[in-house]
Amino acid sequence: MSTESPASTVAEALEAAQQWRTDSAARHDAELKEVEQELGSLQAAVQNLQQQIDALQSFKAELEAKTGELDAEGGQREYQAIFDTLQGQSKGMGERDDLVVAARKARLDDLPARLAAGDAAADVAEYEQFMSTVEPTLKHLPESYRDALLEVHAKKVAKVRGHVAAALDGPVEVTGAELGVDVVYAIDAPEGAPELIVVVVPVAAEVHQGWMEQPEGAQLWVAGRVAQALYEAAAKVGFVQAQALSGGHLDLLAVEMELVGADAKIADALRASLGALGNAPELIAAKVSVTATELPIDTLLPPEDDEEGTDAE
Amino acid sequence: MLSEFQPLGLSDAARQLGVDPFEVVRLAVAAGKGLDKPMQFDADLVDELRQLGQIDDPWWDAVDLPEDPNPLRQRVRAALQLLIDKGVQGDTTTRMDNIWRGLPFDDQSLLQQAVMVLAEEAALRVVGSPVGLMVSIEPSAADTVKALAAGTSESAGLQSLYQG
Repeated sequence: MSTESPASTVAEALEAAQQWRTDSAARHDAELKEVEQELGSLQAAVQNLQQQIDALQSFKAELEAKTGELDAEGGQREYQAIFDTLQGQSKGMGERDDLVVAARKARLDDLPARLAAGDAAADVAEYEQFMSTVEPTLKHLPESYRDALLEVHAKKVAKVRGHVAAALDGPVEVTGAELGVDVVYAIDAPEGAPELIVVVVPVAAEVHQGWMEQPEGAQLWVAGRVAQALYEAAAKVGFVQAQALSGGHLDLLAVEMELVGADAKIADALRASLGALGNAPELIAAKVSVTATELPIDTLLPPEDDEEGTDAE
Repeated sequence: MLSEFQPLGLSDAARQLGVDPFEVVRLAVAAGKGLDKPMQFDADLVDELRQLGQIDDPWWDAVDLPEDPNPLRQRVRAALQLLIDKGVQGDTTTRMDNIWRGLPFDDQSLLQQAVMVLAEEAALRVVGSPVGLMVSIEPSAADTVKALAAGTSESAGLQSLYQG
């Protein structure tokens, strides 16, 4: 109920009502303008924020792209670093071969003197006397005499062989600094079961395929021990069709063996046998310290190289 | 004079056996030689590995090559004839490298590839063993191999091999 006093006339009442309508409309118009202004301000702020969001998202995408490039570049640098290191070690192994060959020659040159100075002296002297003076005359002797002499000579040969074996027992000792090298390998098991092992050996690629033309040294020993490790692991799990293949990879010797069909335990057997490479006595005597390191297959053979693989034969 | 008594290294053992060093190592593993001994091979061990590995003396010393205008096919035909003559068929196998032991490197490489081609064509059987790859004539392809050796038949794979 209104507290105002009622109009005295209907005309006054209608005028008052009209005035109220006019005042209210003016007030609503003012409020509406305020709200619209506020909405406009907020929409401008939202637009501003959206622009900031867009800018940040663009920046984020750029950063993510750079991170991807970083991974690829990091992988490339890692690969390059590994093979630069192995090639450096391969050069050192070539130099170590020179020392091994020299040490072996010195040991053989020294052999007659060592035998002459020891318990073997009498046996060696008799053997040499037989070879130089008796053996050329054998053909002139009756068969029974010849057989008797040869029987005695065979016993002498066995004794001399024993003396020589004793004098040359053990691997060739090299004087020089310790040479540390890494044998790196990867076991490819894309579906879980091992399918292939690739081993990169820090020796020249031609050490295996060109073995007939080169003097034996530490490079061939390391390569041979790697093959031995692969075959030992295969034998341990009864993988009879194991076949080690060799080839070159960036001028280094690569040895690989297909493992399809082998017991899955071969992976651990390979790790164990390759881990024992450093125990090889001739390498220890040559002062070559071998460490076997397992790498992911994509590190050793990056995806772009997978189709090429090694040029194994 | 005394050098003949010295223990052999890996290369020397490989030369004496007529196989490559990795095969010597494989045979040493099969013979139970571990990583704890130096890589040396005395005469007895070399003989042991020769027997274990079924390594034959070179086959080619007295072999007359068949008349053939193509020297590559001539060599392959002779090798197949040797397999036939030696009865290397089915379960009677021989070491694969027995086929080319003692030959010049190019002939070795040729025969190695020829064996692989004929294995892919199921004319020869190549199986792995702890002492090396073994090969024999696939019995169902015996007539095919005879014809190849006689020069009365050709293999597509071998033709491709001869053409390089």
